[in-house]
Amino acid sequence: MNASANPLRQGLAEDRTPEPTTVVIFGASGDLTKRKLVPALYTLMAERLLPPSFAVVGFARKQVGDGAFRAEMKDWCAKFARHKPTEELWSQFEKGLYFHTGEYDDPASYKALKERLDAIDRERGIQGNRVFYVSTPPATFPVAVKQLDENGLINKAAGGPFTRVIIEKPFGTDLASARELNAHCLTHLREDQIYRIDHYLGKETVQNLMVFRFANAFFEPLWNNRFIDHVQITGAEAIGIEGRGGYFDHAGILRDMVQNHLFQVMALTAMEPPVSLSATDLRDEKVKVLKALRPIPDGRFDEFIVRGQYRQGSVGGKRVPDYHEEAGVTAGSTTETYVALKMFIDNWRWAGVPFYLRSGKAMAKKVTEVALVFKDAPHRLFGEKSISEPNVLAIRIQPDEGISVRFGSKVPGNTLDIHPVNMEFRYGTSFGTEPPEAYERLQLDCMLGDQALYTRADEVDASWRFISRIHDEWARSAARGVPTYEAGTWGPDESDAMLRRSGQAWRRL
Amino acid sequence: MTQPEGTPRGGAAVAVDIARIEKELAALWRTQSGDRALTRACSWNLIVHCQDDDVAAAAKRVADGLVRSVPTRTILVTAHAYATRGPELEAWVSANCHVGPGGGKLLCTEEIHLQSRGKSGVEHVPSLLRALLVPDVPTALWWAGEPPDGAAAGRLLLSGVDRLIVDTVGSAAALSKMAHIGGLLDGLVVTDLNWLRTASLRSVLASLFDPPLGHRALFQLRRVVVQVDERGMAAARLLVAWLTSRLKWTIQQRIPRAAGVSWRALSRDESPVTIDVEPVAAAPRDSGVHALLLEADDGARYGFVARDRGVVTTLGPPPLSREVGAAEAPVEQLLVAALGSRGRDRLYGVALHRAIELDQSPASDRPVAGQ
Ligand SMILES: NC(=O)c1ccc[n+]([C@@H]2O[C@H](COP(=O)([O-])OP(=O)(O)OC[C@H]3O[C@@H](n4cnc5c(N)ncnc54)[C@H](OP(=O)(O)O)[C@@H]3O)[C@@H](O)[C@H]2O)c1
Repeated sequence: MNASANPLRQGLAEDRTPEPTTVVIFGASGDLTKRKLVPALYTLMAERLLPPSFAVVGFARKQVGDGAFRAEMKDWCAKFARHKPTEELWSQFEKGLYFHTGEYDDPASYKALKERLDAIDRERGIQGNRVFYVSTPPATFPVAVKQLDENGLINKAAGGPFTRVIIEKPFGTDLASARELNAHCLTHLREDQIYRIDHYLGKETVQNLMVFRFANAFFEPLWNNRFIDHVQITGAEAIGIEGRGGYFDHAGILRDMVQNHLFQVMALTAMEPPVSLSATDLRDEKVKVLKALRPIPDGRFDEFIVRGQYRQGSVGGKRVPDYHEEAGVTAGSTTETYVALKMFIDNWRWAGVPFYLRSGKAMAKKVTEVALVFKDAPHRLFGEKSISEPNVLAIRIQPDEGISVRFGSKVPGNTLDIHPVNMEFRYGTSFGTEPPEAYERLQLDCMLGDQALYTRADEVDASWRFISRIHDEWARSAARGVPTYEAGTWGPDESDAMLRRSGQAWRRL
Repeated sequence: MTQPEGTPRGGAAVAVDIARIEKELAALWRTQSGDRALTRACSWNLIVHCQDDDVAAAAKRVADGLVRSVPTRTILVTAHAYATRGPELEAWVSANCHVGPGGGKLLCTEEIHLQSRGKSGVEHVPSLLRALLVPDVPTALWWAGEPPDGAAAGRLLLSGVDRLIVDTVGSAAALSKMAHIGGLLDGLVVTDLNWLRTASLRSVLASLFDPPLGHRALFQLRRVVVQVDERGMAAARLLVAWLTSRLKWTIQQRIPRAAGVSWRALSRDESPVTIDVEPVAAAPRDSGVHALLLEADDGARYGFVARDRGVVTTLGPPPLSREVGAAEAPVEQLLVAALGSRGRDRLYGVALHRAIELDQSPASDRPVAGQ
């Protein structure tokens, strides 16, 4: 029995409602739970997108009672939820909010959790459907999955109640560890029970990339190597590492931003139109792009990749220290806070078109965008007065989401001067309504059993296969040191030089 | 000096010569932009028909707020049909600008106010509208205030309207007018703000019959009671119409009552069902709906009682008895929905026809005294 059989549901705005479910969050004392996960669940409830029979169980080592957890979560929801808690709705929500103290590697904790969940099922009429959200540091991911399975918390039987497991990022730190984690998960779960999260895919504007491409007739015919000179994908952060030094110094920007978020944006930009928006069709197309990435030739890494580390500077009027002065960064660290890549997608559509990706911390401003830079018009009818700047179609993902098109126009006057102008569409100015948070959409999709916006094992594998070779190369050449860039700039000069060698230049953002 | 985010700017209307409306608007744009980048946005032409100055003043406030969510070229038309003095047509233009999210650029939309007087003044309006519509952008006609009759709306609809927006709140008779107008123009979408106003109530009611209870309980229903205040007669009919059409019940007989109205119906398995619309003194919601209660043949009761404009208390076996968020949107937000995909709700067409059937169903010859 499911909600779609309800004749009163049909045709309503809220026609996608999950079955009664308990969401169990591992690592519920953490930052993500407070800022994102529980506020998102509360908002879903306030928008009537959750079923009446619903529960959230926080699991962590910390000793907290239900009462204290509820009070704490109410404060966090007041700060971070799109819908601020009201007395009536919060009192409904908190009735289904519990805390369970346990150790991640202790079978007794899982047995106690199972008993608790069974009791909650009876109390709230949930019938055994469960989502386990593993939001602990990555070392705990395999432990939690194994213990869940071994203690009878994973229902693998077809039919009957569902069990789904959401795994936070990072999914592995290199190809070997990602493969190991995949294999481990697949011994305890079916692929259709594994939800590898990449919260970029939950962002409205990332999904809008597909709408721009496939709901409009005039972009797609131009979207190929006949018309596109090169593509630039930027994921820049204005902040430095701000207190996350311990984590970041082990990860670096290539793992933290590129392997997951920017590769997903690139895959959505470059993929062929999927047959449907189903999880299988969409992910089939994305993985084809990742598999078609041309490996960087041995011995030529410097031509295709530039890394950098920020040094003291100023961003938005605030002083940013040297990366090495940040708390948690090891002395002499060569971890990159900036990376720029030149890549080729060896398929029919993109043959010969460079895809440039760059991502950095402590950059001039925060911006994520995809820009398609067009080839020149085939014939320069206007000779010297012809536009020197190419046409650009830029899709801004954040902030100020929207699309802009740059083209040449005649400057008013009796002479034939051509000047580039920008035509802009901004998402926020055409639709005043606030888009849902990524974690709302993603948690809802998981409860509904829709994996389309989660990454599949082969996507993770293909992206690590490309990225791990870079890490290996960097490990070999560690002694060469890392170029630096002043905080508040657009990265090291070597990055500009990489594009200049091909007669191209980074966009000024 | 920087304008705070969202501050309207340049709202003052400028009286203009009818023939120069577009030129005056362009001039206004130039003065508005000043030293900063300005984005002109338009995703709808919104014609707002107002029958008098009071309605126009209220509608203008709503339309000015609306443009933050849906950029429109707004054309307010006040038709003083019975005026005998004053010019036949007058026009004012104004730009409605605010600083977009994140500051920086000014986002501007434009507003034209036309005032017609007397019968011949009204006749000028459709052609003028045709000239003023932004090309390649759909056009909605919002009939503010009392819903129109066919003839009044027909004239304006011919100026190229894709969507007609009305509000049937407070007027059960308006529902049959809507069905008539909907048939006047091929492809015209009729959107009723009152239908959108009750959307959260339909969703709450539907949610009771999701698992774990499940929809089978719907097949055991034997009585429906809708409690509304005097504004709620149209909303009550729309709710009953939606429910009975979704459940495929057949309406048998209308039973007029001194207060309220009842119907006898047959459920899909031909079991008798009674439906009562009962008046209450005052309901907390603009739709006038106070409660909707369902009774099953085993005595089980389901439904909701409105606590206020934001929350309803639902009835049903645990865990269904609880407070649920079911906010009733203000008119501005209803208009945003009306101009979005919810404005094209297939369920509304079905419910509207069923609502008319309800009123046209054979009346019992034995009127029953009010309860
Ligand atoms: N925060 C973000 O914005 C963000 C963004 C993207 C992805 N993520 C990922 O989401 C997950 C959760 O993020 P978070 O920021 O909430 O993490 P966190 O605060 O560092 O950790 C979450 C909880 O995990 C528990 N834990 C289990 N084993 C631990 C260990 N060995 N060391 C420290 N704590 C341990 C802790 O709870 P107890 O000690 O009480 O058990 C802690 O409160 C991480 O995998 C992270 O990579 C986070």
